[in-house]
Amino acid sequence: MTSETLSKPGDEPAALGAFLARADDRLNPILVKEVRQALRGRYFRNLFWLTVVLATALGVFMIVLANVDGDLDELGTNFFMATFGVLSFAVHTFVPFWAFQSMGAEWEENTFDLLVISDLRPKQLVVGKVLAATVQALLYYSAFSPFLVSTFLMGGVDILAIGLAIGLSILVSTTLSFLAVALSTLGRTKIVRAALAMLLACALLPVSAGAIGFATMLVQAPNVLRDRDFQYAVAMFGSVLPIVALFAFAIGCARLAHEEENRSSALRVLASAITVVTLAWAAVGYTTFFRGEEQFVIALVGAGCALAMVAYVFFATEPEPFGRRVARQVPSSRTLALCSLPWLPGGARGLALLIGNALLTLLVVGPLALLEGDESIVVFTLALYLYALVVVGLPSGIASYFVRTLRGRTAVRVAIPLLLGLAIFLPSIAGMLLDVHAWMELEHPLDPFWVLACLVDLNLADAGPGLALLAIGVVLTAIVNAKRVGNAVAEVLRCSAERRAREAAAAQATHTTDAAPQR
Amino acid sequence: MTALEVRGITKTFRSLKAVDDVSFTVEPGSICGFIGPNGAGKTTTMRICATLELPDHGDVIVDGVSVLEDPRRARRKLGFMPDNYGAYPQTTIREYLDFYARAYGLTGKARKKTVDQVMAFTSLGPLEEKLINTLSKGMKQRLCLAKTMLHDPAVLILDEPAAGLDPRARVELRELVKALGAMGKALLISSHILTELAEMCDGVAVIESGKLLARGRVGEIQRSLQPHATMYVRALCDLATLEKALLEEPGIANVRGERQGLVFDYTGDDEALARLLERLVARGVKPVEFAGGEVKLEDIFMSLTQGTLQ
Ligand SMILES: Nc1ncnc2c1ncn2[C@@H]1O[C@H](COP(=O)(O)OP(=O)(O)O)[C@@H](O)[C@H]1O
Ligand SMILES: [Mg+2]
Repeated sequence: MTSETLSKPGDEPAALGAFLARADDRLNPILVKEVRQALRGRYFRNLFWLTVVLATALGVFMIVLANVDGDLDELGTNFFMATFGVLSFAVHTFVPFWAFQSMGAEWEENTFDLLVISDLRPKQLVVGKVLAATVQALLYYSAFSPFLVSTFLMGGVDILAIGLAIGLSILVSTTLSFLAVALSTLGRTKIVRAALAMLLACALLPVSAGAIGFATMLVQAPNVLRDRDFQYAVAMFGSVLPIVALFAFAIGCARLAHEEENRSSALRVLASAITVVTLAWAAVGYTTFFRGEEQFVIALVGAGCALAMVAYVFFATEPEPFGRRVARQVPSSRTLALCSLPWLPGGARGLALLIGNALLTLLVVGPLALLEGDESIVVFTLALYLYALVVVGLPSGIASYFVRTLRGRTAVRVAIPLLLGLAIFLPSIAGMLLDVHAWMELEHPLDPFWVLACLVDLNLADAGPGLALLAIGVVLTAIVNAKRVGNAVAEVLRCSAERRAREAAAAQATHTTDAAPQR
Repeated sequence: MTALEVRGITKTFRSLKAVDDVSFTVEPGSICGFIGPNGAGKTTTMRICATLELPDHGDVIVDGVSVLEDPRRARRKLGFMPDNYGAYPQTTIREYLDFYARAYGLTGKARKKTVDQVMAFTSLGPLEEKLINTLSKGMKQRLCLAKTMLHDPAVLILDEPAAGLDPRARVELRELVKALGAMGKALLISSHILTELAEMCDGVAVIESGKLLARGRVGEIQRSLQPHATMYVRALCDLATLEKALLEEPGIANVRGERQGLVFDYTGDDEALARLLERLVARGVKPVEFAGGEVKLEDIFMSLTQGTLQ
C-alpha cells in the first residue's frame, strides 16, 4: 500500500526504491542476518582471500612450470586443474562446513530458543542457512571466474566441459550445504556435534577430491561429453541430487519443528519420490538405451529400495498414535483420509508406506518384464520388498508392544541393521565352526542378498530354503503387526470423523450467527 | 478473557518431577510474580508456556490458544525472555532488532517504525549502532525485552529478568515492567530473590519442588496463612512496662522485641486497634511509633517454604 502511493509514474528512483524495499521484505531473515555477520566477521574474509591468493600462486606456478618444460599444449588444462582444485575445496568443503557450523552455532551460542519462538518457520531457517552458504559459494565462483576465463583463453580446454563442471559443482555444493545443515540438526550435545563434524569432514574431503577428478577427466577427454552412457549417467546424477537435497531439507525441517507438529509426512512423500524417480529411470533406460538388460532394472530397483530403507526404519518405529495437532489435520473426507494413510505419521502407517511403494514398483516393473518376457525382474522385486517388509516390520512390530520412549525407539532403529547383519554373519561363523563351506562364503538361506542373487539367476533350487524362511518371516510379520495396523486405520477413520463433526459444528455456529438479526 | 492459563501441567525428567500438576492464571494487565528457590521448576514451567518444552500432562492456554494444539499461533501471542540466552556476535542493536522484526514477519516501514518504538521504550535509541557483545548485562536485558515486545504479544514471560542486575538497572527494569502492565499485557516474572519482585507484582505464585504452594494477591495469601496482623510499637517507657501493658489487652499474642520496640500478633479489626491505642495512651505508655500490617513477600515465602528449604 505505502510503496504503491510512493511510486508515481515516471518517478524512476522512487519506483526502484519501492521495488528494492519490497524485495528486501521478501528476503529470508536468516540470510540477511548471516550476510551481515559474515561481512563484519573475519572468518569468511580471511578464508576467501587466502583461497584466491592460493589459486593465483598455484596458477602462476603452473605457467612457470609449463614455460620451463616448454610444454605449452597442456598449459590450459594444468592451469584449470590448479585453480579448479582450490575452488573445489572452497565450495565443496569450506562452504558446507560453514553451513554445518552456522546451524550448530544457534545451539552452541544459545540463540536457538529465541529463533524457534519467533514466527520463522523451520523451512525458512534451513533455507536461510543454505542460502547464506550459497551466497558464499557464488562469491567464490565469481572470484574464480577470471581464472576460468584465462583457462579458456590459454586454449586446450572445452568450454562445454568447463560449463558442465561448474554447473554440476554448483548443484553439488548446494546439495552438500543442505546435507550439512540437516546433519547439524541431528545432535545438540558437544560430543555428538564433534562426532558429526568429523563425519562431515570425512565425507566432504573425498567429494572435493572427486569433483577435481571429474573435472580433470572432463577437460582432458572432452569427447566423453558426446558419449550417450555418460550423458545418461550425468542426467541421472543431476536428477538424484535435487531429491537428496530435498530429503536433507525435509530432515532438517522435521528436526527443527515443534514436537507436536507433523514431522514425518514430508519425508514420507520424498521416500515415495525416490521410488518413483528410480522407477522412471529404470523404465526409460530399459526401453531405450539398455533395452533388454534386466541387470539395469534390477540395480535401479535395488538402489531405490535400499535408499528408502533407511527412511522406512525411521517411519516404522515412530510412535503409533497421532500427536494432538496432527490428529486435527487428517482429511475430513473418508476416502481422502484412507488414501493419505501411508503418508501420515505413525509406525504402522510407515509399514503401509513400504507396502504401497512395493505395489507401485511391481506395477511399473511388471509390464516392463512382460515387454521383454523377463520374469526374473518381477521375482526379484517381489522378494526384495518382502525382505524389506520382514527386516523392518518384524523387529519394529515386536518393539511396538513395549517400547514407549524416544531412547527405546532409537535403540530399535540401531538394532534393525544390526539384526540384519547378525542374520547374515552368524551363520557364516557357524559355518566356520561346523566346517560348512557354503555358509562361510555367505551362501546360506538367512542371507537375503544371496537368496536374491539366486532369484535373479532363477535358481529356485538354491533359493528354496531361503524363500521358505522368508515366507515364515512374512507370516510372523503379519501376526505381530496386525493389531497396530488395525489401530492405525481405525485412528485415521476416527480422526477424520471427528474433523467432519468439528466442521459441521463450525458451520452450524456460523449459520446461527448469520441468521441472528443485524445490529 | 484470561491471558495465560496454566492447566495442570506436569513434566518429568527421568525420575525427577520438575513440575507437578501446576495450575494458575494471569489476567490481562496484571503482573504475576513466580517465586521459588533454585530448582523449583520455574524455568521448566515457563518453557512449557513458551512452547519450548512439552508437558507430560496438562496444557497451557495463551490468549485462548493451546500451546499443544497450535504452537505457532500461541507463539505469536507470547513473548518469552529466557534466563540465559545468547546474542549474535558482530551484530548491532538495530540489526538485532531488525532481524527479529523480520522473523516476526514485519515488513517495510512498519518494521522500521516498530524497531524505533521498542528502542525508544527501552531507551536503547542512542545506542543503536553499538555491537551487542560490548553491552552490559542490564543493556542486554533491555535489548531482549525490546526484542520480546516486537510482535506486541498479549502475554510476556520473563525468566529471572533481574538476576545479575545492579540496583539502578533493577529500578529501570521495574519501571519497564510496570509500564508493560499498564499497557494491558499479562506478565509472568520469575525470581528466586523475593525483594526483586515485591514492588512490582500484583500477585504471586509460589512454587517449590515442582508443586504450586500458593497463588493469589500478596495480601490474600498473607491472610490465609496468618489470620492476625503483625504490629510494631515503640514507646517512651521501658520494654517490660510496655510488654506488661500489651499482654493485659485482648487479642494480643506472641510479643517479642524488635529494634527499640516490641512486635506482636494482633487479632481484631481496625476499630478495635484504634481503641487499643487509646487505652495504651490512657495507661500512660506514650507510644511514639505504632505501625504494622505491612505484608512482606519475604515472610510469606519463608512461612510457605520453611519445611523444605533446608
Ligand atoms: N532438560 C532437563 N533435563 C533434566 N533435568 C532438568 C532439565 N531441566 C530442568 N531439570 C531439573 O528440573 C528441576 C527444575 O528446574 P528448573 O525449572 O530450571 O528450576 P528453576 O528455574 O526454578 O530454578 C531441577 O531439578 C533441574 O535440575
Ligand atoms: Mg530457572
